[in-house]
Amino acid sequence: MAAAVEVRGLTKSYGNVHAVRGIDLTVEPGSVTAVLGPNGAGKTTTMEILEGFRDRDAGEVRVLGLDPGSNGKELRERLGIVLQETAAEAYLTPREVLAMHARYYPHPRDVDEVIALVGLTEKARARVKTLSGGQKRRLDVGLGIIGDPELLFLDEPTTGFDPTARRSAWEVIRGLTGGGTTIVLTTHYIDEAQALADNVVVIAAGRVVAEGPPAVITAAQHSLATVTFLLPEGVTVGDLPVQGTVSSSGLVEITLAPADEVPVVHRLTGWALERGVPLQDLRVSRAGLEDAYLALVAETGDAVDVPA
Amino acid sequence: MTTTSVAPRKRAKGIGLITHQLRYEQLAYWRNPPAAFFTFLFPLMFLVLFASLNKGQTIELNGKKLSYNQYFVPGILAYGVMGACFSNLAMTLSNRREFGQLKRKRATPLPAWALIGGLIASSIVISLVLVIVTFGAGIGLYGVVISASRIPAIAVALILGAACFCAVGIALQTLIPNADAAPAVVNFTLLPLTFISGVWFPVPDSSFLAKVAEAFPVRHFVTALFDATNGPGSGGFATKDLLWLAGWLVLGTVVAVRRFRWEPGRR
Repeated sequence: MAAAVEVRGLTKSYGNVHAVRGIDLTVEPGSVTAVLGPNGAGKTTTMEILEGFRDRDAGEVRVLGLDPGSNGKELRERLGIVLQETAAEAYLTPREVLAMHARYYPHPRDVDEVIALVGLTEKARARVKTLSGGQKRRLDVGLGIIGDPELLFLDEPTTGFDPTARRSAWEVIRGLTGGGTTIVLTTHYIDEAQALADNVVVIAAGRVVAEGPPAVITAAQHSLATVTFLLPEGVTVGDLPVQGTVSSSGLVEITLAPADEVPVVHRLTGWALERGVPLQDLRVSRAGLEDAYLALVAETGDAVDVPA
Repeated sequence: MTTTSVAPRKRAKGIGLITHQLRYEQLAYWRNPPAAFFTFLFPLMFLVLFASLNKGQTIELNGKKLSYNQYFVPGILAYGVMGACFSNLAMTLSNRREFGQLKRKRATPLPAWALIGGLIASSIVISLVLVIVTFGAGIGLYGVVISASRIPAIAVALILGAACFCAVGIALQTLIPNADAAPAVVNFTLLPLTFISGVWFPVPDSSFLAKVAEAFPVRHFVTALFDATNGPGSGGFATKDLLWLAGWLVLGTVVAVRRFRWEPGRR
């Protein structure tokens, strides 16, 4: 099956600002791809080129097999786009706004079904201006899917949400993937990428710095594990069978390469059993996507500032 | 409004797409108190104020005496149509561009002509209501006399005037930097022109201010509508003024089409 999105060597500059400096991207049909990066990394510029809102300077771009630069009109019938800014008609109701948009598309979804899907049934007949930020954002998502798109772009769908609203938005997005919709979303929240995406593309300073499933990115970038426990009473760091550091609160920290993990933990627990000392709060932790992401972004230096 | 029916799940096309847009534009317009007040109630309020205050007064125009209200009613109707078309479109489009609503529409398959067509149709509906209310009140309450034979001339002046001010409104909107500036720009351009163009009281043709006003479409619209209701001759067609309106219609359309932007400019 052909890729839903195929990008090769995409570049875009605004004057002297190189917002996108050669991005490659492949999105498999039916997958959720998260484009992760700090503000100004080139996420939105890339999305807007894919959506047909902006011209590109160079590179190959195919969205559902079409060039968004020249087939924008045809593409818009098959795409769902949720922009960064919320912008539904303030004096209409969610139901009216969705019904208005439904008739722009050849095969729209049922208005009530979409209202239920985005959790706005109770607010369906209230004016949009009376909705909360989270509710407006869910209406945006509803507008994005009313045309029953093959591919949905979500630009920072939960920015500015409180944690509860974010979780409920994630549920809505997960519900969409069940229907086979391909989703490309941008975010600067690592947990969001981890929670939703099959594939994560990390962009920094206009380039892709890492790509793969969240777990692979984590493993590739930051494979060190950390063992921590409280130093038992009457024992000094020197007495331990392995090298470690101890903090003023008595927490011992041992950093390990993956291959050493099992032997070192084995030696440590064997020693503790033998000596009859407890290893309180013993923990083996691995770097999350967040550490991997921060490390990746730090490597590329400061992000390029792009006018919003 | 408590209930609304959901539109049938059939794709709207062509003219149907414009009437589809019109329906929601009208809903949004009448539910938005500032918009409805500024462009609908305002001219009606001035009609009642000026027409009541000056009832029974006569004025002299080009050596002919006529009642103030016979003079004023076509002028305030022109003002109403300009508000519904020019001010309404310039402000609505500035706001929608600034707050991302135009970009949102551009993300859908809705063609630009249908979006703008729906807005223009909405302005025309508001204008039609104003025409009925203004002439109705003029004839019923303020003793204005309109001959049935002048209806064609009145219709031509209104249609050309509405078209012209829609085009000029959309064109002006492309020159407005942001939504905050829109009311100021709209009022600054329209209000002074209404004073020198004879909306509120006659401005003699020979005066300097009238000469200045000649360059802009407001005076020509007021004159075309005045001649259609009160002018000499049998038809009431003010050919020169109608041509001026047509010229501004063309200019406005060219500027509007060339300069139209979906998104706010980079700041």
